[in-house]
Amino acid sequence: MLILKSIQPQIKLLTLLFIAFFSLQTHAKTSNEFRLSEFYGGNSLLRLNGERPVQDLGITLSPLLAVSSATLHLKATSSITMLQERSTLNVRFNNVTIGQIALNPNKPNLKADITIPSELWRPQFNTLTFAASQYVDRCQDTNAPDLWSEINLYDSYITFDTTKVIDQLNLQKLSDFFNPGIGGQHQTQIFTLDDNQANSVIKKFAISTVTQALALRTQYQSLNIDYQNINSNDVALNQLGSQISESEYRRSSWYITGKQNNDIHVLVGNKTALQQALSEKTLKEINGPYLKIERTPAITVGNGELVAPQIRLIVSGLSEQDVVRAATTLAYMDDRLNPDQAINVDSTVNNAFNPQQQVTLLPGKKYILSELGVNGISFNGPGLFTKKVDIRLPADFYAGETDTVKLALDFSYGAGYEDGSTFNITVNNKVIHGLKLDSKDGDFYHNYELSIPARLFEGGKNELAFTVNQNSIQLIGECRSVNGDYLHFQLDTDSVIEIPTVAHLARQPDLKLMAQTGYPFAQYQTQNDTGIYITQESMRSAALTMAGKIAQSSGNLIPNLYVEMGISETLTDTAMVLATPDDLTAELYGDLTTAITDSKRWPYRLQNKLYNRITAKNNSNLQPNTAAGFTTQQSTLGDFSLLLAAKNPISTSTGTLFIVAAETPELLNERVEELVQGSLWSQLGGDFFAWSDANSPLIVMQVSSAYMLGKADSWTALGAWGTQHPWYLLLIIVSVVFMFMVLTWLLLKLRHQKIKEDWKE
Amino acid sequence: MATKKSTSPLLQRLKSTMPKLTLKLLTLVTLFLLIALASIPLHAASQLALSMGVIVFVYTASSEAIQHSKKRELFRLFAIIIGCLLSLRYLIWRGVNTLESDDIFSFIAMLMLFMAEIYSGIIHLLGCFVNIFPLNRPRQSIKQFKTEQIPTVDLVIPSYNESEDLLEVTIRAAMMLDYPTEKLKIHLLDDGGTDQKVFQENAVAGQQALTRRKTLQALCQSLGAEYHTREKNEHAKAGNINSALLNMNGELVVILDADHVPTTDFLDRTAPWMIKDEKVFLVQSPHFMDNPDPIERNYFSAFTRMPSENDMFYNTIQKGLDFWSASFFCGSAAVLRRRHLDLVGGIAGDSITEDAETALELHALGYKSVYVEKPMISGLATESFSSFIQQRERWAQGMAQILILKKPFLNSGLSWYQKCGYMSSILFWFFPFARLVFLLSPLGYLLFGLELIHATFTEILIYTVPHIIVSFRLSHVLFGKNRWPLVSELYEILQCTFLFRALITVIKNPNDPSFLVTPKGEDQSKTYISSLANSFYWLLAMLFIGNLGAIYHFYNTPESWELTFVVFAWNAFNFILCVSLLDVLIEKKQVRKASRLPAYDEVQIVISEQQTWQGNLRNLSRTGANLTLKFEQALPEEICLIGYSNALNKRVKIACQVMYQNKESNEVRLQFLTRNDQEKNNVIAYTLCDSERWDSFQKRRTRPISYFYGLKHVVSVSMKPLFLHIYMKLKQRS
Repeated sequence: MLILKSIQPQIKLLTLLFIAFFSLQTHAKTSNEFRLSEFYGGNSLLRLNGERPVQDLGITLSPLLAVSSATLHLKATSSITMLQERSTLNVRFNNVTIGQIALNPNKPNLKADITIPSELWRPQFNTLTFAASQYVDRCQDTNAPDLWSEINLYDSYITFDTTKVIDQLNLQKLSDFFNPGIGGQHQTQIFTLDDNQANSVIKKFAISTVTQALALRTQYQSLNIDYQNINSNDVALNQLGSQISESEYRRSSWYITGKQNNDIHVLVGNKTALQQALSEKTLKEINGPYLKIERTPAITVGNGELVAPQIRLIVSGLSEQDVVRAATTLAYMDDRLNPDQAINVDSTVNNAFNPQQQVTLLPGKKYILSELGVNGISFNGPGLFTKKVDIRLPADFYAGETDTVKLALDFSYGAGYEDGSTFNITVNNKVIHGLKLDSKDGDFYHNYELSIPARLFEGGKNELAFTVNQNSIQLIGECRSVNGDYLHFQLDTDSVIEIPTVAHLARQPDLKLMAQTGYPFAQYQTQNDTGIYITQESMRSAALTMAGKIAQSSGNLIPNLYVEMGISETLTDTAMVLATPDDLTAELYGDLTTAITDSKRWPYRLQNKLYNRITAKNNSNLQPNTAAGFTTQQSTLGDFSLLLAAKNPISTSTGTLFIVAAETPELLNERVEELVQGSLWSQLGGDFFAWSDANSPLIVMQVSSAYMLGKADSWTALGAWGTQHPWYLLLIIVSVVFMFMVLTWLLLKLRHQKIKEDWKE
Repeated sequence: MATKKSTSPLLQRLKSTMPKLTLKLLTLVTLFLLIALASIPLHAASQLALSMGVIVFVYTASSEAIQHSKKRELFRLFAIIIGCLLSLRYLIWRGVNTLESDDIFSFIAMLMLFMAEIYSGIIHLLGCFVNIFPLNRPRQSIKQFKTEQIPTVDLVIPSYNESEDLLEVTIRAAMMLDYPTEKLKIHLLDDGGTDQKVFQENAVAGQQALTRRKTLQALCQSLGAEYHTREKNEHAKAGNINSALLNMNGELVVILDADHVPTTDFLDRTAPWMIKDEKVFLVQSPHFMDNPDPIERNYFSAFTRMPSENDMFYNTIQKGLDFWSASFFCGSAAVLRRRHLDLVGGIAGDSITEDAETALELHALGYKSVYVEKPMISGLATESFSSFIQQRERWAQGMAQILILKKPFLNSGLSWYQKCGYMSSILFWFFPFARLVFLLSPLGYLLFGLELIHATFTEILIYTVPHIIVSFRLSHVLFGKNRWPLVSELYEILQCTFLFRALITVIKNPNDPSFLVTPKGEDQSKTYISSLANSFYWLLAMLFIGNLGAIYHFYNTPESWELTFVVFAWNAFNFILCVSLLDVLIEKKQVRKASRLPAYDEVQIVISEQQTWQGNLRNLSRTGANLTLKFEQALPEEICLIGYSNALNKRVKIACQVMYQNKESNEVRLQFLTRNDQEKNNVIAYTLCDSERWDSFQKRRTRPISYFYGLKHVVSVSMKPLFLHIYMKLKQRS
């Protein structure tokens, strides 16, 4: 016992050290399984053609994750004509070969389990490479059609055992928490304390901004928000007795009832409101707009853990306005520049008139490719190479028929290019220029000018692709081949792209445009208030989730986007209403063929010429069909939810009203969580979108009349209207011509009459 | 009937309820609205829909207008307005969107083509305006007036080098005019027998002039006309007339070219307009040509079946101008009021188109002109291509002189619509600039790679092609009966190189051009290649090289094949037109002295008092006739033809010599014998002095044909003339 007593201090010390060690590194071991198709744009097959094909798959991990073990389960098929002794499929991970699989013609369907050594994993970006050596003959044509193998990405998968490692918790880690890669946090809780006003500044503006700020960090991944307002009075501290101090308890995340999950949650409120949840030290630090990331302690009573330790982000300030400013800073700030746990914001200045102008290329400006994030474009060796450049334009980019985007390219290629070598340039998969690379000695082009019709570019994201096919000399004769490694093509990043000055108009309603660019919530030219209206408080989480997703689509904060409880008589021009059918009034559907109030009005397809199933990929041929027939019936929405868009009938100016409806608030929250996931969000289109799960929509249609939204000179706006309604324009022209004809005819007749009167004299 | 219509209740009510000024203002506002609508920028698909819609409206409305619908005036007006709107839209698009190039040479080429298109567009719009409401005047007769109301007339026939025979016909016809004899004096104004000519240094030429003077004096004396000559040949035709006017005192002056034979009703139909309105200074009538011009003869060979070149002007444009009180004096076949002429110092002489200039000056003084559509003058068209070009050069230079020296667009005396009328007539003659640009522009791209228009293939399809389609259709609506498709293009191509040079000389020095008398009655007894052919050879060579350039482009820049195809099609079209026009440059042999026109008169052939055969004319000329005659025995060498002369309103006997007879085919060819005054007068009255004859002939050939028929004709001529030229050139050398 004495010995025991004598070593007790050491044991305590060791225990403390042990606790201290593990408190520095919070561990939570989890197992995950990911299909390879998730890393390859959803495609299920990866084809490897030719003699030495190489294909890369990018695997992104949250930097907070440490991989303890990982296995690649591969399923592939190869040509039955392969030479077994020479044909192999090499699997590399971060450029290290981790497996070699012989391509056996007798067993064309292969399966392999390959262990990925944990030391090869890098934080965040990893590359899985499939490099095949494919031979069907000793001397073969490198383009022989039987040189192929394919990897079934859908049935191939990686299993991980990962651990979340969080050391040195500070604001720099914020982006790591919300990293879009594997292990990133895709849902979070937001709490306010004692904020019982339906439309307080915090609830209306601050939380919306915080949501956007976090969603911007998840980039393309959805972020589901669970919002709760906690009444501190409800907490029965007195039940705890004297076992723990009140101040210690308040430091903890007592408002969370769940267990520790190593996810970060957010606590939003001004200093006064958060007094019940922050430590004295933290409260003292709040001198203005304030951001802090901190770990909250566990509260244990006896053997039981009353409050689990949590990680939280505090968004606070002295006043409600300070909180909004802190949230705005959270949206703008670059986490890597914040090594501290807490910051007090003195001021936030955004010189841009509109945040949208910071994420899109500006019409009327010239850019060199390096400004678009292109580091260098060079292609070596034989084969087909493509470099894609994202051109993000304002969502309401409205190019006239003769507006042109100008390219001035500097490029060169070396000697030895043979027949079939080409340089093609495409815009959104449309070939706009081609050039034969037919100079045997190579060539150099400076300021190679191209004028591309600007109408080929759409509002939002566009893809400018440079594709080079490099052919080496074809030698005829046995085993006479040239590997073509000497082929070298280079496109200088000083090459210039010039965007024309255009009008800013967009055809509405268009859910696809909203999904891709956040338009019309985020607009290039204006920054008007836009509201997301909810009819029941329990829908606020769904509203915030939508706000985050819209900001994510727009690529920047939408400062004037707020969430408001209740539908007022007049809505903001651009507005979104989240409601159940019972909450909606008929005023919102004045002239529409669709209504989801107590009586449903459906524009059934067979009542209309609307077999226009709209795909997310391309709706450029979408005609502005308007539904005319409809059926009104008494029914429910059942399990599905509906997203409608139409001209806002209760706004002061022209705008678009989006309505998200489900039968109950719970169902609405659930459906919105599904909607913001990539698989569904990317399929948004038309103006009538119904869904009942996260996989695919039930129905996508265009039912409302089209109209133009945006700011342009009246002439361009008239042109845009005419473009949308050429037959109406023709009708107007014919009418005016008719009027002019009648007037002219009367004048001519009067003159004729006068001439004839002269005859009589 | 017309008077009843004019006082329709609708117009009366309109006049009472809506002041004309309000109506004009409303029209102006609507016009601005239309121009605004025409300039709305649209995307390609919508523009295509708009263009297609307009084309459908133009074709539907114009079809109704052509097919004698009750509301054809309205349909016609609607088609013109909406068609012009599309053309205006095209020009706006061209100006706003398609003039952009970094290359200075391309930009210049681009601008030149655009200017040519603007020119064509303006001519098209002015043409539509001028011809929007062609005026049809009722028949008037001198018979409705008392003798004292009828004015005295001096009929003048200016002459320079025309033959005695030609002049005799004209004077005899003038003497037969249906007009009180005491109020009509015929004057021959001989500029070939002036003192200057007679006493010139060249004794032989002087003797010839003296002989001419004496011969013509004798002719005039025998026919009862007055002979005038003067001391010097100053100011050409205008000076000749003005000099003679000093010795005349008639209230009206009729001017006839030496070869212009009037029908007997000429004064009966024209003079009343002068009596009715004291402010009328001019009554103009059409010039009817009873022989084909060299292009009609050499190329179309369809003089009797297709409208003549000047039919468009005299049957449509002058009527349109008349509505706007802007029909102008054409140098002959016109009645002028002496009092008004004196106000401007006689016939104007600042330009070499003294006629239009005189009309312009009198219009500017507020006087009116009248156009009587009936053809009452038969004249001779130029026989050779070179004389045709010489005549057109004079017209083009004269009009250019008027534009530069008289500036009608600034003339405050003219109303805005008269200015439009004159500008339409004058600017037309600047077509060589535009036509040469249209001919040579494709070469800019095909040979030098110049960018001609900054537009895509699709844009050309949706803007240019509908504009061309609608323009052709409107031309068909306005002039379809009087001008067949592609005829204008062919005439313009033929003239453009020569007229271009002529116009340049005027622009350099507006006072430089001098009046050259158009040669008529030339010898065409053999087939030969025109001396003006060389410039066409050069043009053809360039166009051919352009086609080779197109092949090079197709091979070398296959990515721009669409553009190459458009330009190649354009150049190939020019090439085909030019090749086929080589046919015009082969001056075909002309056997007959006078052109024969179809005729259907019933005639009697009298062999003796007992023997008379009934027959029908097949064709008729001033020298003879061809007829179908059922005769049972051979005809004697000389017979008598009896026919009804509308001109004299009686049956006339004409002695004829039988040149050919065929009992089997019942064909007989006769030559008229003119051995004495009576015989001469009868022949002239029967063959040349009947306006109904010219009228029916003209109506017979004025009919529309489809564009494809016109194109077929051009293509059918094809390469044949090229080989013919090569053959004839080789033959000349050997």
